[in-house]
Amino acid sequence: MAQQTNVKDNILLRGAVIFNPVFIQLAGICIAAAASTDVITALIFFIVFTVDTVVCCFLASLLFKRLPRWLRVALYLIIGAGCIFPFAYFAEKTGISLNARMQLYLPLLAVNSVTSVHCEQFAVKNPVGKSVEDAFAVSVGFGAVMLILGIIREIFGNGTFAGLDLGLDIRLSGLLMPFGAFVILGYLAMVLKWYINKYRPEFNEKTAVKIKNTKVGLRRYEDGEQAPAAQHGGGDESITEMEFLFGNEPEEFEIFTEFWSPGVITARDIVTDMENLSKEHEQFSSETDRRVEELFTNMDSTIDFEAFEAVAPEPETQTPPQEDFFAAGFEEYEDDESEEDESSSVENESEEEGDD
Amino acid sequence: MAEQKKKKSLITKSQSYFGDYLLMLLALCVPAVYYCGRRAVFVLLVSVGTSVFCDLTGGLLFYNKILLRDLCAVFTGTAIALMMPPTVPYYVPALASAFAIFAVKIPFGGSMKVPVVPAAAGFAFVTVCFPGEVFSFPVSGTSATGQFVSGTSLAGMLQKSSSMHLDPISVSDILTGSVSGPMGTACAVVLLGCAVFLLIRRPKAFIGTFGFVLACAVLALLFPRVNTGALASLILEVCSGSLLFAAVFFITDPATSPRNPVYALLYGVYSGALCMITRYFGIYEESVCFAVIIANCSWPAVQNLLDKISENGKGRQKEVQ
Repeated sequence: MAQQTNVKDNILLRGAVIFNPVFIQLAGICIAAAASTDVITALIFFIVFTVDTVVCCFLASLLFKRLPRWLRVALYLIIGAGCIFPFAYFAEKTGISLNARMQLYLPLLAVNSVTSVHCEQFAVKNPVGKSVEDAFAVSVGFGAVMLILGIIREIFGNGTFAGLDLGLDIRLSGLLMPFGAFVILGYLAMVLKWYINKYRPEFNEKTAVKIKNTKVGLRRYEDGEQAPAAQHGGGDESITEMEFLFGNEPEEFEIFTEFWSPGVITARDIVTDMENLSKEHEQFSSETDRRVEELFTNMDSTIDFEAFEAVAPEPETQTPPQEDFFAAGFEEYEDDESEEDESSSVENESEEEGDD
Repeated sequence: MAEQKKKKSLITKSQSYFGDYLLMLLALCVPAVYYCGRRAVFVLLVSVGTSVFCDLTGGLLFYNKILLRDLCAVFTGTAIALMMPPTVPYYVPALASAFAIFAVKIPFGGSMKVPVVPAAAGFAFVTVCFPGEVFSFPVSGTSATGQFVSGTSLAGMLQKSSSMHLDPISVSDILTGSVSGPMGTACAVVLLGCAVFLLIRRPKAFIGTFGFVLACAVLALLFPRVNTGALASLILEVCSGSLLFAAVFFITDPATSPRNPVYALLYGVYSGALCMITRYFGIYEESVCFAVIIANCSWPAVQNLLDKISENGKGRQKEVQ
């Protein structure tokens, strides 16, 4: 739990990785795709973007909190221009050659959406220190994406690294086009999603939403019926098997079975339990896969669930009384969406009948 | 049990589809080997081998399963090889196959869930990366000596708006594929045979093919790129490049084409129109793959629009009643 808190409080990890501006917020994706054709360009964009964002967020947090929103947004643009144009002037005076892409996209950094969004959403609502930290984290996230794109595209598209010829005969010039960048971005987003799902499930928006609305199934075994707990060496019929389903699509469902005594259960308990289970069992993934397959192949005949909303930590959510856990009728697990679909289809049918 | 049945039916369905398509591709391999010699065999082997290898490794890496059973990888590799010229370096079909499998098939969950036709995406990728290698076609019949003589394909001549007469080119050469062009997509007679096979085996899928060719033919008649008459324009446009090949193999793809016959026809017409537009205004001499990809991506939105229009029409009819 302590580790959990550290991660939650770690602005750098949240801003740079978990809520990466390019992959999660889809901000700055145009510049990332169009301008990251080589490492040097990506590095220059990273530096300029960092300066722009940090200065904007610093000033927004320090001075702009009481200004009206329309004025703040205009000021972000002016500050952005104030940060970028001196750099361009300096580069011109010192003889640093800016290539065509930099000449085109560098001025556009002044009006990039990442800076404006973070100034508005975070900087004006938080103290200066946190705002600067967030701005730096976002810049690192954006810069990391630019650098990875730049490295891959330059090596495979151009056959060079930072201008040095690597002697590659086959050059995929398509990667230098924006579509190549989008293909790589897709793969990087896939890796990020895998990381979040695997190691930080509490940050997965779908999982998090589903935890609040997840159905927790409880089943008490009848007299004479062998409970799975007994198979695992428990043998205590008073222990109730619980199965938790997470995810929005059947393929994404993860099942975590634990043998808990009935009591007050919070979503946080479930997440902690999931993490402990995944750490304890090395073969957990294959076991999970097996159980998912077993569940969905036998759902119609053998699985009995009592519909029950897990108790989320929010105060407004009411915990169902314990006696409700063992209501007489056990309902099959049904996804919320399917219920909604069914109800809507019934409504439509009734409407059609009315029309007829 | 239901889920298992569903999975099994999906595999059986794709096996059945791609099994039929592989039979047709096999027929196209015959003129390819006849005109291009053993070089065609090597290109085919490299392309199919890469495709199968990528499918095998990708399936084991990402899904812990062997996905080869759906035959999609074999189909993709063969289709890509047949769209290449015989002189193409081996790494080009290999890269196209790898892209088709790793960037299109594997990430989206298999052959029945792909948003675009993998073979079209793979070919489009290498077209963008290596246009010189993909569009350098040898003169037909120069493969016997092993020294290919550089020629110009029909699509290349059409792109340059050459005022071609049909007499010097000979319609019979065009129909038998004895012209400069891709290895397996130039033989119109075999492709027409494949279309007939498709009509017999899968009449619903053939509707899309019919719509595609119809749209291309109408546009070729209305807006000819040659100054030698509408008939010459029609024959040259339909038989050049990979148009007929795409009509038979890509437009009828089970994952991306609509099942409703009316929508299948409209999808074919829409794709055909896009194909001709990309031919007229595109920078590459053969851009049917780009048209197929654009059609695949944009068709769901078009179908939604058509659904809304038809719903509005029904609502008005009810109001009138």
